[in-house]
Amino acid sequence: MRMTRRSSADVRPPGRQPWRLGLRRQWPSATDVRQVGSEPDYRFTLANERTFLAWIRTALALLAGGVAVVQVVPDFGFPGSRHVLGVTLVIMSIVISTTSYRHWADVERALRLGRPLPPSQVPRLLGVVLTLVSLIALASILYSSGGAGR
Amino acid sequence: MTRPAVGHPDEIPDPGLQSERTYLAWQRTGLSFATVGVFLVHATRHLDHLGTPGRLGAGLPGILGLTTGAVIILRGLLRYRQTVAGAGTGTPGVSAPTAVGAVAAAASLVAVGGLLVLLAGSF
Repeated sequence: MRMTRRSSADVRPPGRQPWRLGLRRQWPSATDVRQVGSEPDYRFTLANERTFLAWIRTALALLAGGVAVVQVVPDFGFPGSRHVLGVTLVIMSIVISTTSYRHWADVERALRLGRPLPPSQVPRLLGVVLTLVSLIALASILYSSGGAGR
Repeated sequence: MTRPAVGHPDEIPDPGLQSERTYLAWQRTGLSFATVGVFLVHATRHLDHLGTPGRLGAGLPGILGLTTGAVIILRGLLRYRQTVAGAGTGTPGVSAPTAVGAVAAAASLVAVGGLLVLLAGSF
């Protein structure tokens, strides 16, 4: 099959609206979501809702973890390492909670139109960020146990 | 083995217990909001240098989290009754964009507020 050069609009996955920064785009109104397509099986709607709620809980857990690592955990590692970890976790929490409604609405739209579910970059981003946070935490623990213990 | 008698006139067998699982997911989310709220209020104890108005302001994200948690748990119970009643009859409109949007907005505000509390306590 010959590969042809495509514009970015063509490679957009089905069900995904063009990404534009704006309140209307990121937070589509309730009527916008309900207008398209037809009412899907209620079980799909509820499954989408539970997935959304699981993301919200993930965001809340990241927030609690971020605040805890700064305020509860005793000083460890190199100077400022707790703040780097805490602020990173809380920023990740903000990213997830501000994009979650948009993703829920995209999935809802795809369900109503019978289209494939839209992809999301958030799981990959979260995986990368949590890997880095864990590695920095591990390095900090090794650093402080090696330095202060002797 | 026979199926137990329906305990309530409105109760309709719900394959996969979708309504119940969704209700429990809302309840867990509400409890998470409340827990984070308590934790964020507790985290403001380091903020004496902000003065009284500053400390009260720093408590707002936590209070928002607690309030959101309480509303979610109460609303989840009401919604559970609606979805169980609607599940078998195929009543349309299970989708709840307003509730989902409100929860996402509350989580965003709590998270941004939490970041501010964190930064205020650090510098």
